[in-house]
Amino acid sequence: MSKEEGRFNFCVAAVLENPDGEILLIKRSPNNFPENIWDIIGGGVEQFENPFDALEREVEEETGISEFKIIRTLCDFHFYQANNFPDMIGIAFWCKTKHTNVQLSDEHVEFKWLQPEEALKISTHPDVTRCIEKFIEEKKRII
Amino acid sequence: MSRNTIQIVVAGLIENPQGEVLLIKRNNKGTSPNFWEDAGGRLLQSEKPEEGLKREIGEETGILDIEIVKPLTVFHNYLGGVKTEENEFVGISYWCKTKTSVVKLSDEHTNFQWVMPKDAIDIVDHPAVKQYLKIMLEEKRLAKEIDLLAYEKERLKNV
Repeated sequence: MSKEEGRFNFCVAAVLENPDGEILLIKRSPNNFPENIWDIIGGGVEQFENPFDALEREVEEETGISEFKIIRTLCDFHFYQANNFPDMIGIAFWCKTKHTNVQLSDEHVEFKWLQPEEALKISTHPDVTRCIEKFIEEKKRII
Repeated sequence: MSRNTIQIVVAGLIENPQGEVLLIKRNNKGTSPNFWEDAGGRLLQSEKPEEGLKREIGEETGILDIEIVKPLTVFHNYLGGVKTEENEFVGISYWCKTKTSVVKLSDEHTNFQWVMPKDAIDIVDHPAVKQYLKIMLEEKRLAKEIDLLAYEKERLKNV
């Protein structure tokens, strides 16, 4: 363990499902890189913050929803950020909520509750698409 | 916006065709001496988690045919138990499969055993590994929702 260990940004994300089996996509605002894409909920984990606490914080900040359950881990993701920024590594969870009222922050401009197949149609970001595909796959495993 | 950086540990519960998982025993040097654990270690700069996991498994067990089934959960901790920026890490645990049963240890470990996951829970020493062994058992049961937050709260009680 003496080789140079890397340092990373770590983020958490949620595919949030409502009681009708719809999932929440939120559209990033024009000044929120990667701008204007339909995204799932999530964001960076802060110094000394437990990733599960970070997930609860991000869901509440981005949707106003404070009550949800984490059902399963879906997938990891990794991307290289712009120069001088460390790589971002993240993990996405399948989360369930009883709430459908959404209050966006100023990082997002629009939201939609969609059946996962419909969500796939409007997703343009490969990591978002992969999280939705994993959600569909995991949901099939639960009878 | 600059964000804090953190080290990332990847760990793999490796399952053989008999449904047993591989446990390896640390040597008596360094942190957690003589602990029974799963294979894993810290990611190098620019390494993808799955690449790093396969590298660590190869180095520590000699097993090269690894199918990564999925990540099981994440855990947050400090190397040596001391809360500093340098020691902070996030761990990602993965469920993996292999057809290999021949194990070649590095000098970091002194022994290994293949055991059923439910028995492994009592053998491993890190609370985080006990937790994700339980999560792996839940994942294998399929028709059940897992409350990951409940597992995390239970783990934190034992840290």
